[in-house]
Order: sequence, then structure tokens, then C-alpha cells
Amino acid sequence: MKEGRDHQLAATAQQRGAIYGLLSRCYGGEVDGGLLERLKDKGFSQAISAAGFPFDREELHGPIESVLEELAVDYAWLFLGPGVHISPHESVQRPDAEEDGRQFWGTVTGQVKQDIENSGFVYDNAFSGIPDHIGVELEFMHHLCMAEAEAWQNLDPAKARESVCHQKRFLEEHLLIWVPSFCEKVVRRAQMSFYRFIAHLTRDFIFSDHKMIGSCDGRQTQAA
Amino acid sequence: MIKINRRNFFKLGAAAAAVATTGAGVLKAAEVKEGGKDFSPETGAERKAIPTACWSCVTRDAMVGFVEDGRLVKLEGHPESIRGRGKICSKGQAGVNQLYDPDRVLYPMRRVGARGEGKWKRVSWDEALTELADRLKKLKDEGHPEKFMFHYGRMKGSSSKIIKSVFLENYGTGTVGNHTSICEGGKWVAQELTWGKHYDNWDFENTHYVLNFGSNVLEAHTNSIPCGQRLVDAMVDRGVKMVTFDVRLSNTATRSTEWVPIKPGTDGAVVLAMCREIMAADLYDPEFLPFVKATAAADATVEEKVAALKRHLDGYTPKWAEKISGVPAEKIKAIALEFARNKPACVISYRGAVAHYNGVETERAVQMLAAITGNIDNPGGRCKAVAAHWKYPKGPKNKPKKKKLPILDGFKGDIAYPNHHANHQVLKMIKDGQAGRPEVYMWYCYTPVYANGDVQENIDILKDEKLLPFTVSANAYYDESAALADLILPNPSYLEWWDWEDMVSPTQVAEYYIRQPLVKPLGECRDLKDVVCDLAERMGFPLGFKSAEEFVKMSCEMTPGVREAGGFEYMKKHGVWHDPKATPAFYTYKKEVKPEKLKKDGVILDEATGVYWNWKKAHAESETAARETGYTKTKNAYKGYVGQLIDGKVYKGFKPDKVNKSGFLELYSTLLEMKQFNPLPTYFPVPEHEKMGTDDLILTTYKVAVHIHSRSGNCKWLSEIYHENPAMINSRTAARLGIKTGDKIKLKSPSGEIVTKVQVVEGLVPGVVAISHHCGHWQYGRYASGKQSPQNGGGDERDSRLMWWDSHGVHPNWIISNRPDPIGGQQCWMDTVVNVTKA
Repeated sequence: MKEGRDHQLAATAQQRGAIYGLLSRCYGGEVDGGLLERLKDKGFSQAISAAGFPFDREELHGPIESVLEELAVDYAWLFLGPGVHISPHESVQRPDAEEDGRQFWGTVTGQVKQDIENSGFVYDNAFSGIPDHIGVELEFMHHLCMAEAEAWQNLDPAKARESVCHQKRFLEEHLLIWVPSFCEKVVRRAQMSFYRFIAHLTRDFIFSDHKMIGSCDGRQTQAA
Repeated sequence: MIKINRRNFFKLGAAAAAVATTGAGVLKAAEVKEGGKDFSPETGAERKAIPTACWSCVTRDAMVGFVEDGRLVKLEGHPESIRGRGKICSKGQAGVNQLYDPDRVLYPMRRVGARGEGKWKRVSWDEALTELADRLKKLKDEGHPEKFMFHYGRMKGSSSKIIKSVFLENYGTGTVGNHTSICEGGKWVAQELTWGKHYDNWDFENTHYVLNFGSNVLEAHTNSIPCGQRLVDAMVDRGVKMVTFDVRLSNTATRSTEWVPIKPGTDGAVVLAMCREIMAADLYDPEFLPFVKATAAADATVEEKVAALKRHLDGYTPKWAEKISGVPAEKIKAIALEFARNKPACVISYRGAVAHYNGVETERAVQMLAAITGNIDNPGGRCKAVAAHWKYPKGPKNKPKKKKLPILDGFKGDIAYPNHHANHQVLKMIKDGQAGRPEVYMWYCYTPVYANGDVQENIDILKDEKLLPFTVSANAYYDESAALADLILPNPSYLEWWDWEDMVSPTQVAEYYIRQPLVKPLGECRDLKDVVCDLAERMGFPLGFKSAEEFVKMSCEMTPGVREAGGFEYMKKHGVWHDPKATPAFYTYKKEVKPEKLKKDGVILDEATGVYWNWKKAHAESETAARETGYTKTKNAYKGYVGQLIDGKVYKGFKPDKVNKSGFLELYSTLLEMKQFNPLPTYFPVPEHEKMGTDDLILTTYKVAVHIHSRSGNCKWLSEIYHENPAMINSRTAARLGIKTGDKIKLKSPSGEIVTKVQVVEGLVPGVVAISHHCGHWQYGRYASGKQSPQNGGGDERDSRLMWWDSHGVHPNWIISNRPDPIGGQQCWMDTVVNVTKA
């Protein structure tokens, strides 16, 4: 009975991790051909529709090269600059940053990096971005979810609960503080429906997820 | 908000898992490493102090960066630097803003829409360099490397050697532009025509008197902090007097003992009148005059020189100068005599005096003033610059014979000696097309649109794909010019790259110093020096080193003194080195040339000039041809200069550079005579100033202490201090025009018009309107222009929401035309006549 419940919890954690993984990938770089094909998959489209997110699927169904270029231009416009340039970094976007932290590569950047590294991860040498990029923070959540899933599968509830607590803390100390307002800017400024959808999904998902993981004792609150 | 319920959560989760399960792929499991670390006692953060060098302005002070947890937190002057003595300026400290500018370009970007439309996509470095290398290689293979034009603004020290001397030389293009003519080119040409080298140092440590013509030495000098602090010491500790002639009451003028207001473009008249008074009072220095050329003859006696100078100067009376300059004749005379009697004295000058149609002549007159009083290359005087001489790897031995498009030196016949080019004419020449056009136009640390005059014309030309088929900007920032590029290569800020440096030392003892990265380059920024190594490899001519770091390391191991001190490791640890046994280099012209040097193969005496020169080193055709054509008229004869015959002895003299002058300090210039100019320094008025209307004013420009000319608007600390540049007008002129402070005025010239606010002041000569540089950006990120790059993004970095100012000033270059002076090609920044009306 308990084993069955743990497997269910593992599956939930995996699903959550997958969503974080998807979001991380979408912010972490431009959509490539492989990702585009998977995004166009019927199952994915249906899931998006079922969740009620506004998303013009047709946008992805033009000639591949041209769709990829349009997505790349919007990505550059939004997240890289020159363009509207909504900096995808916590230190820039965080509204409550301390005096000396209100800047690109601010003190919070170091805190995020430290938090991630203290959790047993290192940034890949090939990574050329800034440590508090939204793609990194979402990927970190993905890894924490996967670690939780693995712990449930290994029937190690203490470790799983530890991971849940870490997720909750990271959400509350970082993502929830800056990502919702960041996403609202993206929704307002994105030229392609795809990035509006991703921003909508990000904002809504992190709120829902925070609610879902509830308290740190591992008993997850069921979403409404 | 849309609610994610349990049912659609699982659907989403499953779908997401099928699409991408591992995220961006940035993080991986860590390996534990050991190592000693230092931590800040205040913040607990890991801390390092790393010696490096500034690059905000050309002064390039040595400094130390403090890095905590991989983040630069502070920059300070390097306490062991003999140049800066532990001090840097506000621009230097604000380097932190250059590094962490939120609008930095961090990835290679390729234009997608029409040029200038603002649509971009990220490309990989490989894509960017493949495209660029393919284009460049094609030009090279077709025998037209000159169709690759590289145009730089600041490129000194090892940057210049790697990119210009090694990469571009080996590629084979000579179509390499700089920015000297919009900076100080006229001054350099004047110095090359007189004492040979282009740069002067002012020995404030030993001087008794300073006479200043148009230098804002305490705010914006090319060697600002090293010189400025020594001038302050001299004035405060020793009571040295400084008299400043300037159109405007600059902060240098306010700190001077006396400010003498002077009409724009008339400094030369005053200097000549001073020379006249000094000669008339026989206060000249007979011991220095043997080293001066004052007549056509190379063997003239001192008496003959004195007579020639008196004859030439006779008409330049103080009364005559008063009518031209507005400076009272009695004051001119009094200051002249005071200057001559207070030896050693230092006469200094810069763009206020030189960036005019007659600027080269003004600077030659200033050299004359220093020379007749013997204040040349002496302690306390005006000295030939001393800088580090690094040895460095020169790259492949067999360089191709380079080709160049004749578009660097202005239109034919416009400029007599464009020794440093006329780069403000380059875009005009490209538009004209008769001298050819580059197919690839690449610029680096340069903003052709913003930094030159005729801004609208610059934009129109850069936008035109028929005139310039492919444009590349190597830049850390999205500025007004990068916005018109086809490809942006993201350069790091200077706090993320390697260099060795060699800026002039105010002590006359050379300082060797390096710049090393304080942090890893952000994003995918790559130093252009590293990029050209890569490009060269791709095109099949490897440079012999793979990176700037390797080049700097090799240079440290090759350079005498640095090598013995410990080479690269020493420099990384200490940042600076100078020879503790070295003595200041004064009177170098008095050194005699050893007889054996005169006997070397190829060395001959040119009877007409008294110059010993090596015709072989100068690549003359033959000895016979060299003797027949003579030193002065043989192309590049100056490269073979050995010494100057003076009264039977051969001295090192004033070694020429760029032109075939003799080894005398030439007040009498045969080279100018050959181009139909008066051989002795003279005065001629700025033509536009002779035909002004009633509502016309002369526009003068200037720099302030807290900004670099074009490249610091993005620094929030600096732009908070200075972001608005109202047009300053003297109260008398304002009253005549019915204008008061706060009024909006329109300034109109043949190049265009601008509208700005007025500030009525007393500290400006009547008939002049003064507008500073630095402001009026329409790109360059949020702090410079109020815009992100390039659209308003609604917030972002919290400091941008704390911006309490919404005015970003006006850029005067829209109404200043690109026009060279006739001798050196200096952009005539200070000559524009504008019609001023209430807006």
C-alpha cells in the first residue's frame, strides 16, 4: 500500500520535473528542429489545449526553417537584446534586491550559484550564461524533482522530503519572487504566441506547484 | 489566471516529459576540489585583489580589481604604479558598470530584417566566423584584401600589435582606419613636423610655471590622472602659477591662477605675439637654438636664427593679436615675459587650441614658444614622451605586400600631411566611390555614426547596402553604429581581457603594465584579439599564438627587464613593473651619435639638411638615387634617420617619425614650404568665422570629467552625475538674442539642426555657444538613452527604475560637419558656425 503511494509520489515528482525541464529548455536557448518537432506533437498540443492555455498551434506548422527563424528572432528580441530585452536573470528582475544587488550579476547571482553548487551541482564548463538565468533556476528545480522521484522510488521518504523542502525553499526564495512579474513582461512583449504561452505556463505552473508541494513534510497537497 | 488541476497537470507533465526532460542541460554533478581561499571579513564572500589596467580613456591607468565570489565589486588605482600612484578617476571606478551593463551584447547576433530595422537572431561563434572568414578569404584569394576595411577607435598596446601589426598585416589589407583625426591628429602632425614624435609629456613635477592653451588637463586629458595629480601637487605644494587660455571657464580654468578668455580659433595669434615679445626682449635661450631650425639653411648660426625669427614675428604684435583674439595686448605681453622669465616653464595645449582649421599652425606656434625659451625636453618643460617598449611575437615572417583603398586620407589635395589619416572623411569617400569601396567594413571600439560629425549622413551611408555590402561591429554594447551592422561580434568589456600596456609616463621613466581579466567573459563574449587568431587559422595563416593571453605571456618573457623580474607570472601577480635604476629621460636630443654608427653600410650625409641617414634602411632604390633625390624628397627616408649634424657634431637630435623632417626641432619646415604653406608658424583665420551673420554663434564642444567621449553613457554612476548638456551662452550674447536660462533654442548649421535648452553663464566668451559631448544617445542601452536596446522594455534592472532623470541631453555632432584642417586633417570640431533662434 505504502509502496504504491510512494510510486505515485515518484510519478508526480517526475511529471513536475518534466514540466520544469521543458520550461528550462525553452528559456535556456532557441527552439531547434528536434524540439520543434516534439512541440508540434499532437499529444503535447492536446495537453496544452486541455489546460486552456492560449496558444496558436498553427504558428509552429509553417516551413521548418522559417518557423525556427521566427522563433529565434523572438527569442533574441525578448531575452538576448538587441530588442525589447527582458533580461532573464534574477538579479536584474528581482524586485526586492538589496542595495548592492540591483544589477546584472548582482549579489543574488552569487547566492543562486552558491545554492546550486551547495546542492552538489556544478555549472557545465560549456555553459556561457549567467548563473541566475531563468533557464538554470528552472533546470535546478527539474533536478530537485528528479531527485525526489528517485528517493520515492528507492523507498527513502526522508530523502524525498528533504528534496521537497529544498524545492519549496528555492521556489519561495527565488522563483516565486521574480518569475511571475518577469513572465507578465514576456506575455506583454512577445511577438509570437509560443513565448506568450511559455510565459503563461511558467507563471501559472510555479504558483500551482508551490501549492501542490505544500508543507515540507512530503504530504503533497492535491491541486484543486 | 488559468488553474492547473490534477487532471491537466498529469497530461501536461506527461507531454512535457515527451518533449524535453532534462532542461537546458547546464548543471551536472559536482566534483569536490581542495584549495586555499581568502574571504572578505565583512561579507564572508571569497575575495581576490587582481592587478589590471583601465581602458575607459586612453590614459589606461594601472588599477586593482576586487572580486568576491566571481563578481567584481570595486576598482581602485594601483598603489605601485609610478604613473597613477594609486589613483584612478570616476570613469575608471565606473568600469564596474561597463562590466555589468544589463544591455550588453553577450552573443553573436546576425541581422534578420533590413539593416537598421532592429531584428536580430543569435548565431553561434562558428556560424559568425565561418561567414566572416569566407567573405574575407574570398577577397584575399581574389587579390583584393584591401576591400576588407577595419576601422578602430581605441586600439593600443598589445591590442594594436595583435590585430593591426600581426593579423591585418598578414591578411594583407592596409585599409585600416583609426580615429585620431577626430581626436588629436592635428596636434600630432604639428609635433611630427617640429620635433618628430607625436606625443608630448608635461613635467609638472619640476616646472615653475604652466601656460595652458585649450587643454582641460584636470578633467579630460589624454594622460589625465598621472598628469593632473602632479599639476595639482605643483600648484598646491610649490605655488606654481598656471595661466589658462580657454573659450570656456572649464574646471581646469577655475583651478588655474588665472583664466584668460579667448575667442575660438585665435590661440595661434596670441602665441605668436608672445613669441614676438620674448624674442624682442631677447629672452630666448641661446643654448637651445643650435638645435632649432629657423631658416632654410641647415648651418645657420644662432644669430642668423634669432634674426630670422625676429623678422618673421615682427608683424605679430600684441595689439594685432588683441584685435583677433579679444585678449588685451598688455596681458599678452605680461604673460609672455613672465613665462620666459620663469624657467623651467611648461607650455601645454590640446583640442581647445588645436581642433580648428588653423590648429596645426597653432600647435607649431606653441612648439615655437617652448623652443625659443629652451623649455623642450628639459626637467619642468615640454618633453618627448617616454613609454614602455615591449618586445612581442611578430607573427609569420613572410607577410604579403599589403594593399589599401585610398579612402583613409581624405579627398585628393585637401590635406598636406594626413599622417594619422582623416577618418571623418572615410564614409564620405565611400559614398563618393571614386577611390573604391570596401566590401566588408568592420569596426572595433569605434562608433562611426556617433563619434563623427554629420551624423545623419553617417547613418545614411552605413544603412546603404549598395555602398557597404557587409558590415561587422565588434562591440560589447549595442550602440548607434552596432544598430546598423549586419553582424555583431560580442566583445567583452576591458575587465575581461588580456593586454600589455605602454601609456606614457609623466616621470619620464617607462612603466610596463598589463591588463588581465578580473572575471571570465560574460555570456559568449570573446576578445577580438582571440577572435582574429581564430580567423587567421580559418583562413590558413596561423599567427603563431592562439590567444591574447599567450601573446602577452610571450611578450613578458621576451621583454628585457620584465623577463628578469619574473616575466608573465610576476606581471600577473604585480601588474606593473619599471626599472628601479632608470633615470628620467631628459635632453635625449643632446646625445651624440657614436662614430661607428655613421660608418655603417648605407649611411650617407644629406648636405642640404645635415641629416645622416641610411638609404638602405629607408629602402631607397640605390645610393645614387638617394643622393640625387635627397633625404627630404626620398619616400620614407625618415625610416633611415641616424643623426643630425650640428656645428660639426652629430647628435641624435629630434628623430623624425612619419615625415622626412631633419633632426632639428623644425620651426622652419621645408616640408610645409613644399606644400605652399609658410615654413615658419603663422596665423590664418578660420574661414567661416570671417563671414558670420548677426544671429550666428560659434559652436564649441568640450568633455567633462565624468564621461568618456562616446562610450560611457551606459555607466549608470556616471550618467546619474552627468546626463544633460544644455547649450551654454554668455549673458551678453543671450541678452542680445533675447534668450534666458531654460529657454529652448534651435541651432542650425549646413549639416542639420538641433533643439536644446539654454543655460546662460558668465564663464564663456560672448558670441559662442558651448555644448559638451557625451549626451544625446539614441541607443547604448537604458542609462545612456533611456531606452533598452533598442526598445523600451518596461523596467528590468532595479536601478533603471530609480533613474530620477528623463532627459538625456543632446548630441552636437548632428550639426557639426566633417571637415579637415588643411595641414594635418584634424576634424575641425570647434569651428562650426550656427544660427541660433528661439525654438
